[in-house]
Amino acid sequence: MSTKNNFQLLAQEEEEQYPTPPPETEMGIMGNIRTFTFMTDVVELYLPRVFDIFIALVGGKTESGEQTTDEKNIKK
Amino acid sequence: MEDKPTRKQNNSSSTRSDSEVIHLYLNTRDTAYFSLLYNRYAGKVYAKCISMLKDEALAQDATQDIFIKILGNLSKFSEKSKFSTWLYSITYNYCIDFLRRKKKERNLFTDETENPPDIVEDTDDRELLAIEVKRLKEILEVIPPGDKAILLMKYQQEMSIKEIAEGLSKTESAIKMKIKRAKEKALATYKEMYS
Repeated sequence: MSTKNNFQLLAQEEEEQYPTPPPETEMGIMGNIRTFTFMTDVVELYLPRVFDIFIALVGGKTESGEQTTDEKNIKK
Repeated sequence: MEDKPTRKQNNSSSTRSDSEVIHLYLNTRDTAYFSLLYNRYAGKVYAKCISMLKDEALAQDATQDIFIKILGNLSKFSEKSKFSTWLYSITYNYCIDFLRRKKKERNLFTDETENPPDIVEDTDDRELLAIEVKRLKEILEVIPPGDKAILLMKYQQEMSIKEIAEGLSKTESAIKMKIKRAKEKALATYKEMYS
């Protein structure tokens, strides 16, 4: 015996009529995920470098205490 | 080591709960886990979007936007309610916002209920739940989308007043009032159409 109410039976009917969105929809989403992941990786990789350069430019030492490439160039 | 979902598992039944899949995705950022969630719910979300937007192309775009929104907010999912409940409230909210923007119909979800009374008398559901499916579908096509969405959340998804209120960022009293009005509108439409 079905325990679904009329609203749920209507949903079931609609889901049977339109079982899945076309594959392009999933491809679009996965494309977005890849772009998002790439952007995150770029930020993770380069943002600390940008901070280091900024610190070096204002005359400070980087967190690791190492000279930045710019500092080495200046000494030369 | 976590065993990744294979394509076969994606297409058939996976034993992992939604909550486990979400945790695995957040910990590993492996798109296969998000794909698993997508395969579980894309059909339901798509059907709801078609039902609300009445256009397959718009529903495809909406499904894509909703899953991207889900992806961006997955870490904020608090597990106070089921994942499906959270996903469907985002889906209805998206569709209502879309229709509001499209028609610039301010009263789609405007509140006659901005300051609702604290006590809202509940009306009987039996009459509404006794309507034949085919007729119910026709009634839902006629009533305003905001009323349709709230009735679907209440009776199709069986969401609690609290869950609907959280999903639509309204107070519980406002939602009770909105449901009451939507029920009355649906029943009046039914009587108008079939008596």
